[in-house]
Amino acid sequence: MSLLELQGLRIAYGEAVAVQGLDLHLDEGEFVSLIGHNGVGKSSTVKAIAGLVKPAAGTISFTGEEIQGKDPGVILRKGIAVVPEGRRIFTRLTVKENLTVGATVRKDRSAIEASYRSMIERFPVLGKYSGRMAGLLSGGEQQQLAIARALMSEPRLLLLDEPSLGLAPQIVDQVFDLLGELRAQGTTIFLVEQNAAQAIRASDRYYVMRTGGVIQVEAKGGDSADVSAIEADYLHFGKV
Amino acid sequence: MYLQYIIDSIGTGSLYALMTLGLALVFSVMGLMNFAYGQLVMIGGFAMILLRSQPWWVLILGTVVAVVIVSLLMERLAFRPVRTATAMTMLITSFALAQLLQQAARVAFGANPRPLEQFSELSVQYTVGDLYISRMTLITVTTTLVSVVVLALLLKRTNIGVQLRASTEDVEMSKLVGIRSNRVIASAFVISGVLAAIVAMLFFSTRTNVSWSSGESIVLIAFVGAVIGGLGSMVGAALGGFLMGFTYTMLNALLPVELRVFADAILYTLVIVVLLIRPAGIIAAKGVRV
Ligand SMILES: Nc1ncnc2c1ncn2[C@@H]1O[C@H](COP(=O)(O)OP(=O)(O)OP(=O)(O)O)[C@@H](O)[C@H]1O
Ligand SMILES: [Mg+2]
Repeated sequence: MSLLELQGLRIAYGEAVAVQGLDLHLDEGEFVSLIGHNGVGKSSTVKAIAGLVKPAAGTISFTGEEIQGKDPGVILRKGIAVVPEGRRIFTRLTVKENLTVGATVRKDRSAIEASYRSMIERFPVLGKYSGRMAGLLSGGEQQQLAIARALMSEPRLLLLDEPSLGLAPQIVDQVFDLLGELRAQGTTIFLVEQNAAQAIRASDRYYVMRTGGVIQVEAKGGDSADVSAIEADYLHFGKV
Repeated sequence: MYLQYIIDSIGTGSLYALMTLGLALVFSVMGLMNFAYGQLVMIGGFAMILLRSQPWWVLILGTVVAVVIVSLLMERLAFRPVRTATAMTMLITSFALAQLLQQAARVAFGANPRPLEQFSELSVQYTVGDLYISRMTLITVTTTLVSVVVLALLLKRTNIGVQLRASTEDVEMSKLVGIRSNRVIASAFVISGVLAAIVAMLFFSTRTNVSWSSGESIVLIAFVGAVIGGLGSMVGAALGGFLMGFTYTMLNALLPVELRVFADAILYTLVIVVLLIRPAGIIAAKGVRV
């Protein structure tokens, strides 16, 4: 059984259809990417999984249980945490408060404190600025904070919506290194990216999303000719 | 002489700052300008009349409990159903609620103001050199300082406070980290209710009666104070309210007798000037929805 499975997902905003008939799945421990251009419905897909938008049709199953249409808090408590598009850290909370608020769904205070300490060990810059208003952090630091905040809920599945957006190439490399480490430690990762080349390199499998939600699945190391065809197609399209 | 005016004005300023905070808190959490806030204070006044003969601690506790219950009921029955509606819908709901509570008070307590027996123990005056400080002024200033410090600690140091501030900044993201918005918003209404009860006790202790229409002027002051202070900012709200009360009392003291009738006009002219210079208020909060 897949950890996450989307079947026939359809998302519409009033008359406008953003996603039409999307099927995909993720197994426990996998790092899967969804790549596609502006406006194809990547963020809408993430929002539907996280419970921020209610799908018009289709199912979203997590550990075999249908979760589509449930509230974000319920879905988070089942183990899906989100690093949303644009980071959305709480700028007027301190760095430490951002992290503790990320653990809202957990009860055990001392375990939360322990997670906090291991988080600032992993992200030293967050420890260094723990008492500072998060809005004062640089873009790269804010991205680390957004990821760390999501990890504070100890999710089984981490959704990331374009974490590399607006970051310098070096910082993007750091973010991808971090995702690789998380993957190695067993976190299941679903990454939405426009930065196709890097996402493809980092992930176990990837999906390409095109307008209208049509999806092609390619397994890495599968039919290599096919993969490069898709890449060429995608990257060519990306130059427009 | 001037020092005496300043002392009196600080008293009024403190009271107005408290009034403004209760209104601004709910606004910053859910973008609702709750115009029925004045009626919470009015209800506190009537609770005081009903409890006037009780020991002081029963009076205080009873007034706080009564106002908090009404505040919570407001949230649950009137505002929760329209929470996702437009700001205009919420605003109209709050106007309707204000009218409803006023008319209910009018039916329950009569159209004429109800007398509130004075608290003689509060009218004691202290003399410091040639200055007079009333016990009421001392109580008002102390209560305000304590309330502001407690509110600040609550928002800074407790989980619910951090959740409140997170929701204030980004409701959608706060849901994504698992904050239960119902709980957070209800807490804001509890705090707002406690503040309204404190305002009622400080305000009506210096008046001789309570009327069904007593809430109107209070909510106007609180609203204007919150706007000039900067919507969405707690510090701004307290400052805005304080400046309103301080300026008003100073104007009344300093203007020649024949011009005192213009004190309100001058005050609101100053408000307009402040807003022309700083349209978002003295301390503008970032990303506030109005
Ligand atoms: N709240 C909304 N109301 C109406 N239309 C929306 C809304 N959100 C998204 N859309 C539309 O749905 C489509 C998909 O948007 P979405 O944000 O999911 O795309 P995306 O793939 O994440 O794009 P990008 O790479 O630019 O972030 C777009 O055409 C967009 O205009
Ligand atoms: Mg997007």
